[in-house]
Amino acid sequence: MRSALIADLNKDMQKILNNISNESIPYLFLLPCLLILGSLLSVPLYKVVEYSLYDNVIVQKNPSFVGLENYKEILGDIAFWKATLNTIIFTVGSVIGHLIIGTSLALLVNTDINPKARTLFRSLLILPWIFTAVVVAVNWQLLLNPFGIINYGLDKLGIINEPLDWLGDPSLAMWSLLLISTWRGYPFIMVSFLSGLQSIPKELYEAAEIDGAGFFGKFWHVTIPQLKPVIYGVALLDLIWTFQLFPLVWLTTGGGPGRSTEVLSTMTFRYAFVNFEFSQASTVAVSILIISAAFTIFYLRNEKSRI
Amino acid sequence: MKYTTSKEDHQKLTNQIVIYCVLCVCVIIFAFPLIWMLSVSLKPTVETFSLPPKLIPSSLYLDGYLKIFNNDQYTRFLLNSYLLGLAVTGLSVLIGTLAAYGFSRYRFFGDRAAKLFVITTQMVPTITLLIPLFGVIVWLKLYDTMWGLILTYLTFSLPYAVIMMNGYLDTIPKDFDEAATIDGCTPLGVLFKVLLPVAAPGIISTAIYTFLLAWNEFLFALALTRSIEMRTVPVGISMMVGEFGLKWDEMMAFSVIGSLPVLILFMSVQRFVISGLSAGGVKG
Amino acid sequence: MSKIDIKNLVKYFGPQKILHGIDISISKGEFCVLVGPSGCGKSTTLRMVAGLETISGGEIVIGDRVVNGLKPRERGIAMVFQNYALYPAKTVFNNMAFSLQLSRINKNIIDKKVREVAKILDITDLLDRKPATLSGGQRQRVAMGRAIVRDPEVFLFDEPLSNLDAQLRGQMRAEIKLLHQRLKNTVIYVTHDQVEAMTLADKIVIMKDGKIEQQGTPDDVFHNPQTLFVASFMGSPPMNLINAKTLKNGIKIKNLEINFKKSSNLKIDKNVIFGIRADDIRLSDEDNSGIPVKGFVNLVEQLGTENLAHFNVGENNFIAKTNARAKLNLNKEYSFNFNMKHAYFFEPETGIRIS
Repeated sequence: MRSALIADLNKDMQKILNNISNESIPYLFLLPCLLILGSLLSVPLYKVVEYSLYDNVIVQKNPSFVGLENYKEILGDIAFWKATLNTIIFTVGSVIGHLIIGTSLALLVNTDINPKARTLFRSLLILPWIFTAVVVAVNWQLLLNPFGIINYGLDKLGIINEPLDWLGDPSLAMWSLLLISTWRGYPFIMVSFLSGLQSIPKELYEAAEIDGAGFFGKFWHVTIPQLKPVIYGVALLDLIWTFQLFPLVWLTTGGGPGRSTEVLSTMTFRYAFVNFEFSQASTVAVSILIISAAFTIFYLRNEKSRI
Repeated sequence: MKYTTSKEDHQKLTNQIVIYCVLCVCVIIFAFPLIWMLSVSLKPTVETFSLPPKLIPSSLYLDGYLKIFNNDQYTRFLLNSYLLGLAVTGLSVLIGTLAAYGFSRYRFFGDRAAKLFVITTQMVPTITLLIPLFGVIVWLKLYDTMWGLILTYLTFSLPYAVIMMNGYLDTIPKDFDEAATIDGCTPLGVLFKVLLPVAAPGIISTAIYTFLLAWNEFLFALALTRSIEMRTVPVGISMMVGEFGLKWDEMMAFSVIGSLPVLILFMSVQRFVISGLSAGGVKG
Repeated sequence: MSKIDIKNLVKYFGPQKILHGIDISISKGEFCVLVGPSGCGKSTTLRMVAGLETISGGEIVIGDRVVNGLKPRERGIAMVFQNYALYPAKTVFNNMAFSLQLSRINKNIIDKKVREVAKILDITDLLDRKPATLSGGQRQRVAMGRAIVRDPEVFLFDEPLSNLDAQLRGQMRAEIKLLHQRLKNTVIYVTHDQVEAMTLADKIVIMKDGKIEQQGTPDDVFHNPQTLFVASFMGSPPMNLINAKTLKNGIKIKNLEINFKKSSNLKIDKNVIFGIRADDIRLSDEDNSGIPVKGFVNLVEQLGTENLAHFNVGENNFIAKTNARAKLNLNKEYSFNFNMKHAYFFEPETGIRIS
């Protein structure tokens, strides 16, 4: 009687243990990933907010708590607002550039040409995207050098009379930066749109053709509506990433000449690793985070249906 | 009747020729900076800004490349970048695939939240993370070590690995899992013995993309290392810019050498990588 | 080879109850077919037997063992999937050998076993090929081979023929039947195709909305349907089913009266559903043993060996089976012979047969 009871109990325990181990399987698979991401992201994010509330962090052993003083200081600093404005110009300008060039090239490559030729052209046009930002920066410094080939070409074409210092002239530096950023970033848009374009069923175009739609009719009534979710998501991603971009700006103009191309990310880096004012750097970094988070919410809302 | 068809054919041919011409012009324009890089790397520095510019060097000049390969410092940068890239790739693919398998094959409490978290991590500004990570890495006594870089690189490479692998695994029917379960596989067995052989293109493209991310990274590599022995290729190139008197031949030669690994890898399996990227909406 | 007992099986998906207490008892070597429309719970039942779905309530017994908590591989089952689920990266040989390799069986024995089964299925030539290079029928055979190699106590088939074209389906159906006669394993086979169910089964279980409507031999469920659903589901073309009212000496369907000697169970002046198979309506020229009814033909479907004549009597439509050689003209009146001995009556509210 008793042994039967114990056997029963044992069976039940086994069942419960079995259930627990079965339920926990997916968590075990996720554990290493979430552990790494969680600790290497949440701890720093918490820390950076904390840093921004103290003075003289990292450089001194016992930093003093100053509350929102750093924010007051930063928000009252004209340089911060100048950098914010530059960031907006740089971000919006780059994204528009990416979209225009990326979309045009995607449509061009997607035309009815030999599939092998299409792959080849796509491969070649994607090139600017796979180089490290350092190589891109060095390359363009060479091209935009006062004695460089771009000045030579423009001079020969009669567009300019004397060589311009594209990266060294405060009135030109931002434009040059936008040019470089556009060149660097269009392939992402192109590739995303291209795969979006190729996933549109051919039948839709055929149906539109039978209904009497011409080239623009098909573009407007089939391509655009089908691509809409892709366009929105990709443009937002591009916006988020361009907004926080650091290496390209730092390596081409370094935020200069003067502070004419200083963006929030270079400002953060300058505070931290040039001036060693980590509290101020953290404050600017947090403001970047807040703005990024706002855009991210829009992006996630759009993506939610896909998860 | 025959006349109209041939007219249409004619029209089509003209269209095609126009399209090909436009595409070729675009390629020349957009690839020019890279062609110029190659050209400068094959010329003595004095000829870099010679007028009129010469695309094809007048004589064979490989000094730039030789100087790079004969300099221990530069070869060290290359070695570091390879080690770093391989370590980050291996870890990302392994850990990322496990997580992707969990997301793709199981429904569990918190699955959507966890996935949302992984996607959101892609959006966290690296510049925001830099300062506190600097603090954490110093605290862990990993400053100026490869392990410090490997650990920080995982924060941005893992999300891509998870999302790309998840996209791939989702395309594999669950029937395989069930058949393998009935054949006697454990959940890990299902992943390694049945799904991964099928997902080989996915793994390759994920690996190459994470390698590319690690190889190209600049900010952390710059801020979290100090000694020459720990520098990577991108930091190495940027250091050449700061040196007194620009040696364009060496700099461009090193840029070419430093870009070749990712260029070759990426181009060889481009098709897979691109489909993998579009599966998860991935960064450039 | 073992018997299977499914006792009061219940399944919830979240708050939704998918199976409402299923009881099936399958004896040793029996070929049991679960059939029903999609969403009826037949596949879920099968997957619970396989161990791919958890059991919310009830018990599954294979042989003498309750298998509820057991892992799939511990249950002594093998399964053939709808789209075969052949591992794309493995050769046919390795697909078939996989489960044996996992059990760490001696290589030579595996080799021998796989070749033996391949011979039975006539796929020896394919052993080195990858699944992607095989035709649909070949994949089907490999999938079965993979199941047979394990020498399981129970075979589970999940709509294995639904991805094949009609001709191949008929051929594979016959092969499965022959194989069963040879191997004599216990089989549970899920399908939505009632022809497959009729031809293959020793026992048919007809399911609807997570409940069993009827189970029995093919002959039994076809000729003796216990519910309206079974009557309408089994048989092609489907049984003629029409609302009727009972009279003293027959029934009335709208304005049509059919007089016959009805059973005493049918009370007078009651609403019923009257059912009769197309096979039991013939042209009076071919058969005049029953009640003659005149109707206008409005559609003739030619099936080759016979024709289906759609005709209406007043407002009521019927389908009759006629000899293929009988030439019928559209919109012309013919006399049809209703064999009322094979008429069925159902309660309109419950759908239960009145016998």
